[in-house]
Amino acid sequence: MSSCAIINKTYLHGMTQGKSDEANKNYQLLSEISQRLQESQYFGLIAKGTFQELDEVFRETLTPDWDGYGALPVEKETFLDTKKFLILLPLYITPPHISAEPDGNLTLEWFSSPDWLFSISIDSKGFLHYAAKFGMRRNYGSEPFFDSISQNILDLILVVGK
Amino acid sequence: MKKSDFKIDPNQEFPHLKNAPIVEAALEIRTIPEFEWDEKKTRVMIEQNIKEYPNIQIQKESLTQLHPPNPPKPIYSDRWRGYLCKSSDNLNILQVNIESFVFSRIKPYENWERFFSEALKLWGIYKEYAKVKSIRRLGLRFINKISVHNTNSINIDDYLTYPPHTPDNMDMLFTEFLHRDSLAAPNYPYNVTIIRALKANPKINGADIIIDIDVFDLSLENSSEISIELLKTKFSEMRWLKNEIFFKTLKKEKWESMK
Repeated sequence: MSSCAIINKTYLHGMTQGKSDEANKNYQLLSEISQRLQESQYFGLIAKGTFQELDEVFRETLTPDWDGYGALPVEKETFLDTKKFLILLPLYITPPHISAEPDGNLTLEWFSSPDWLFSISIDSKGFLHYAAKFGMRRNYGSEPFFDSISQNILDLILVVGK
Repeated sequence: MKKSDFKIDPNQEFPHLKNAPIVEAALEIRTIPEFEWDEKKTRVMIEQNIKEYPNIQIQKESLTQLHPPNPPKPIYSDRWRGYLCKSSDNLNILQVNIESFVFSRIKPYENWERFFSEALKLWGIYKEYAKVKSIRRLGLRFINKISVHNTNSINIDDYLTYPPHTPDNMDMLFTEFLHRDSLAAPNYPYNVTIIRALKANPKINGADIIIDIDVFDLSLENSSEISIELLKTKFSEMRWLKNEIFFKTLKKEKWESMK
């Protein structure tokens, strides 16, 4: 029998969470492989400078009033959630532009034109707030972020970030 | 691609393995939080309703900065995400998390009936406390470990029905391998991740062969149907898949010796 493959995105939904030593080791091994690919010049967001950009934005927004207009500082939880979100992105995604907001959220934006863009704002409580503008079409909402990126959000990123 | 004849038969009987190599069985139901959980109230709920799991530990989400800037300055966060509760003998583990319910049985695994009925009982308590209205993912994961003691070489073909091969069967030897397959069940909403690995284990002067089977279902993501009957049907089908994969991954001679 030949080996057929259908391509879907179920891997984004992570693994069933085990607690044995073996479960932890398997998780660690797979994370290492994933990180190695992220480090590659061709595939990875690490090589493309995305994580460095995130570090720089975080450093500039760590203290209150970082914008001179009373902005709230970006919390470390927000920073680390954003990093986790970037690590979970599929390898072929275009790097987003990263910025901070006065309410202390970090924003990832995929921009094609003023009428064709998608942004995700990550808060310190682990919620993602997203907004898409694809011509006349609008899509927005919020959802919790734990250890996987929802299909809904990924599909929206793919409209701009392919 | 031709139409698939793939069929799940939850009533099929599988051989009972007295010495099954299961090191962990885990059942997970990922949910969507309906309200902001309170750390103290959650602990009180566990202490009052789940008394058979007295060893309670806080579960923190360990977020660590993986690539510190120059100069390195690691950043850690440990946001509360729930509780991990162990039975007195530490063999049953319950995770009451904001976004997920997970029940694990560490070896020795007894049987499906005991495992599943305990999971359902605990899920009932979780569901009521968390006011669960919708489910994101169902998962059933069985991790098997076959230890081969006191050896310098293993013939992988003796253990696995579809072992890894060297490039174009080059005359080389594996020192270890990690193989991850993701499969979809035709005509059903289930996906499976199978991890097969060989890792040297100096403690036993040999190696461990791992067969880690994770069956999951994402089809309930936008559904509010979460009845016990539905879960029973789903998990019995997922269990069939898990069993079928196990018995078709490990060589018959090996699993027969575990009876």
